[in-house]
Amino acid sequence: MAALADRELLIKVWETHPKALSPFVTVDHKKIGARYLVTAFLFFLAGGIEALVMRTQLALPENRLLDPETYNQLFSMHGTTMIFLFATPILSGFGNYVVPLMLGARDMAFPRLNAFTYWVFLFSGLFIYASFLIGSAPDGGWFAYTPLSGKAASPGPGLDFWALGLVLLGISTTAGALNFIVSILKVRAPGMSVDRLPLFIWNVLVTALAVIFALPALTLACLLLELDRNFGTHFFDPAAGGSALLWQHLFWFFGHPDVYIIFLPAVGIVSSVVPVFSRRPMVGHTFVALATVTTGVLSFGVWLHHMFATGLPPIALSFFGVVTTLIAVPAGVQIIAWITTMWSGRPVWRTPLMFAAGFIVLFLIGGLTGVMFAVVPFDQQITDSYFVVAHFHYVLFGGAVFPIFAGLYYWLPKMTGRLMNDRFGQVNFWLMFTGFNLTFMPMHIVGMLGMPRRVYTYPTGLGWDGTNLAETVGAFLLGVGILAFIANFLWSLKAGEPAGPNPWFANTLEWATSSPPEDYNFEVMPTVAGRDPLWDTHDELGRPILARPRALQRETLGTELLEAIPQNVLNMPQDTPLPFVLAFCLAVLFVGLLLQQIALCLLAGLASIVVVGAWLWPGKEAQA
Amino acid sequence: MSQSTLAPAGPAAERIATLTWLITGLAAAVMLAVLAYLAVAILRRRGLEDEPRAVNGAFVVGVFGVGLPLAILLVTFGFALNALAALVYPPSATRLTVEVIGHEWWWEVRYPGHENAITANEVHIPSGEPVQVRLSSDDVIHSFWVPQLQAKMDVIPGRANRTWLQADQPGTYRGQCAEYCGLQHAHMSLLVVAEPPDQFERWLAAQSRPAGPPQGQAARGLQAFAASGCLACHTIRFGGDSPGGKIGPDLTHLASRQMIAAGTLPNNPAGLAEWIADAQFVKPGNKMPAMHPDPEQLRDLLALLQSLS
Amino acid sequence: MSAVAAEGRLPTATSGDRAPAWWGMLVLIATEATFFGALIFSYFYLALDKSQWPPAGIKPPELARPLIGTALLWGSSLPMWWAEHSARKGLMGRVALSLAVSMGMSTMFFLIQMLEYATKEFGPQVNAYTSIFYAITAFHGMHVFVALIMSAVVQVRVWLGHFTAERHLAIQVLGLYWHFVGLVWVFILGSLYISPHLLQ
Repeated sequence: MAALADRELLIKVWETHPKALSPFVTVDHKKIGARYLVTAFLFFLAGGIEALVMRTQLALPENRLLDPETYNQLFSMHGTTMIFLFATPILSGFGNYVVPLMLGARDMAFPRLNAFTYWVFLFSGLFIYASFLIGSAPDGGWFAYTPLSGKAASPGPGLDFWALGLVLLGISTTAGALNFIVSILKVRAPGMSVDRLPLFIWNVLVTALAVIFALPALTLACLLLELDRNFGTHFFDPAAGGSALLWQHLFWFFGHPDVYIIFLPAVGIVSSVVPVFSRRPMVGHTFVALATVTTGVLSFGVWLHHMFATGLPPIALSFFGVVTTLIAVPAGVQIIAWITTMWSGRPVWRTPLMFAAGFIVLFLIGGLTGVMFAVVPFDQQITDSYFVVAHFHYVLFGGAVFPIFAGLYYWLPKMTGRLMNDRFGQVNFWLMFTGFNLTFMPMHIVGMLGMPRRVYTYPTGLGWDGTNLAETVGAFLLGVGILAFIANFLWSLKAGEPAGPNPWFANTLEWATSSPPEDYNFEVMPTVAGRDPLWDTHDELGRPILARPRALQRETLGTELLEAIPQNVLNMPQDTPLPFVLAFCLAVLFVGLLLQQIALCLLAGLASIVVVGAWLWPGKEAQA
Repeated sequence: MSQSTLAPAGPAAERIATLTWLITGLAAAVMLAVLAYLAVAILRRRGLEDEPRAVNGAFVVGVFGVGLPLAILLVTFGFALNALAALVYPPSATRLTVEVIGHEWWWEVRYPGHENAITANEVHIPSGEPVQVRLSSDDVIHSFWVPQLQAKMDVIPGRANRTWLQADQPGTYRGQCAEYCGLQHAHMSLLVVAEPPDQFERWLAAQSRPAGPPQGQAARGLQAFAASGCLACHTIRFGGDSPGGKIGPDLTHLASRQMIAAGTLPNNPAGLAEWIADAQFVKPGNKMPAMHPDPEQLRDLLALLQSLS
Repeated sequence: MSAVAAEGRLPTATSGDRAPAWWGMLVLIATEATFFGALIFSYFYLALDKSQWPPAGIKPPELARPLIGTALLWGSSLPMWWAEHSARKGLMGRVALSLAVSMGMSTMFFLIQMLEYATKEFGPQVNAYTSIFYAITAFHGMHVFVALIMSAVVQVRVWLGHFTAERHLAIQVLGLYWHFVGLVWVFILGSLYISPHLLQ
């Protein structure tokens, strides 16, 4: 009797208003995570369409389908979309949904901040894409080198959309990273000591720390660019003592860790999927965790390898060459660990594992060409050609998108309660794997034959024609593969088999909930005594913790840093529109900056301060 | 014509090409080994109820994940350092310096010490010896890349970068801007023409001479040239003070060049006509407007331009 | 180790490193510190290829007023520390007083900076040096401004009696931010104001 009342009370305290306003007031990490996934996936499709249009233009030499301005906007938006509006947010989406569940908590440490980060992400994406509406999308490439991105060479507003949009997005990414860090440190299941952290959590933690230390360089660079473009400053203006290369240093100090910010959570997905589908714990778990940390640290010491051809002194080139070479070691550790786990386990060939295996193949190739690039003279010959386009697509598409699809096939059943069709999933995989390789493998060749990147067309007679045509065919095949995924997903919503709590017989705590989980995640807060809580045999969960909410208050457990000993009960916020309102105020502020309307900026800024004040003002209990 | 990094025609590109084959071979070997391991992991026969194999994770990962890769990588780095050291300086002392100035979207070429030799999009060098190249930019970052001869070097405003070129044999080698520089980055190519040293000296002397006074139709062409506004961007030097702009290439010896519009069209009557009539159609967004001369004017202009050897 | 505690025995109050908000402020400080680091990197990077920095025509910054301001800014950390100390003892009157002193000193620093700007012989648009000089000092100034607003809000909450000896998280979090703003100024003073005099 008492147990029933507890559960009803939990449901009541944690449910989100089912009214029309619900999307604007919910602070539930699962709903926010799902939103991130959907929105980021839509940006993925936008970026994909941009790519297909470009590939159509490049199918034939001296093609006139697109004029150079359109092409240049497309490749700039393609890169910007894929990196900033798709890859990073979709992995935030997985993080948002899975991390609290995997930690055995009821939500993130800062649920309202979580809601805020989603709205800011959405607004920043819309902000950048609004540039298309005025025919002036950014056209400086996704890294906007100065002086090309300065006012003289790029007088239109495109780069202003780009720079301001990224600063706005940066607020979301930073706040999100802050949330992940504090959540992972402070709201773990009792007993989940540091050595028992799942590898996905390690990856999210290192990623979040990388965001904290890398993103400021980009934000600064974009703000300085805006000041140069619109307020007469001279940071990047060589004629007045500024430096064109300063931009590159700031950008790449962020830019290189950024690729790991994308890669590491994807790797975390692979490290979740491989043990589960090999039906054994990860071989070398500790090594893999250390490899993740090492990668994160080393990623800050390699940025100059993007600038090997800029005329820097040989000693700098050598130093960054060696660190770039060394960063391959933690990657190798993980590849060996994954394959050995599969080799010594009993693999079950479901779609998630296939995407994980496909990832290993593609990331291996991309990683090896990366090591080739660490050889400075080779880089100096081959950078800025299609060879580098091939390299980064192997490591970013192969290295992040394939794991994302593994994660989708793995975790969507938890989120929707329905399994996707595995046979069709395998078709999906092969279409994508074949299409991807057909598109990007030939680019290695055409790059070695001297085809530069970012060209809207190319002359015939240099040996590039047939290869480009093949790449275009591959791109469309890849597109068909992605459509297959969408079809499978939509089908599963209607007719997929019910998933049940743990269809994969997996090991981590998110699989101890129903599919989809209740709003409150866990009725009784779980405790943990090993790395694989659902596989380890240990005592039944102890006496009920937090089963009965106190006075209609949402709560989760606060635990100590290293051993995860419970310390206190943390009050979690109720639903509130403040995150949406604050995000909106910030978006208006940035529109004001774009339009250079001081009054609008001041108004929006003031409103933001007031909303923050309301947000932080204590609730009825008036506690600190 | 080739722009291939794997068809080297000079010591620098050759060194890099050899290095390329070496590291490609190494990478391919590693790839095959790891893929073989993956294949074994996937295809290994297992019974339905087999327990997972016991594995000394620390050993496997330590040796094959850390030890072996580190060894291979250090060898790779050794090759890299070796090649870098060899390529920083040219193999012998250089006698000649060429100055290349990057513009949106063409290459200005000058020869320090020969102030009157000014050309565009075509760099002549003596074959069989190294030549210094000084690089600077007028506007945005470009990159000077002639794959058959040398690695690329960025051309950065406010920064004096240098590289060197050596072509072992006489020949024409194609290069292209390799740093996105705006609308017509795709059409910013150049040619490096290596000639036997005495032929090169003759070329340089000819480039240093002013253009001869135009005769007949070419003279009418010069009038059309001035009347159409061409002088706002282009200069033809007849000796003494020649009026003209410096926004576009110097045309004094246009007829001596193989291509026009930075490697976009051949330098023949058809190419010239196409370019002059509607440069915006050929290279949309470039800084030369469509001129649409009438047929008479066009014939005169062509006569002028073809006389500028 | 019993990893389980019955809910009745776990406190709901959060303080210091048991509070997510405290850790959140640390993380925020880490990212802001990186931002300042990038700015100071830019200052020195721009100087690298120059024979003179500040460039010819611009004198190295005068030290008199900035040093007074510095004393006020760093000095303001003392009453701030005293405020936290008093809060731990539950002496809210002292908290209010020391917060006010701290705020006053920091406000004077801010006003001195405004005066500096008003009387500076160059604006940000002259060259790269002036641009980065203003960028760094203005960014720091914005942080001081935010600290002042936070301090005002906390002050109001002290008057409203929100805090006790056990629960005064907002004061702890404010303290962290406050000291950070002072610490950053060490690097700015050293780079922008003192290094030109040393390196001449």
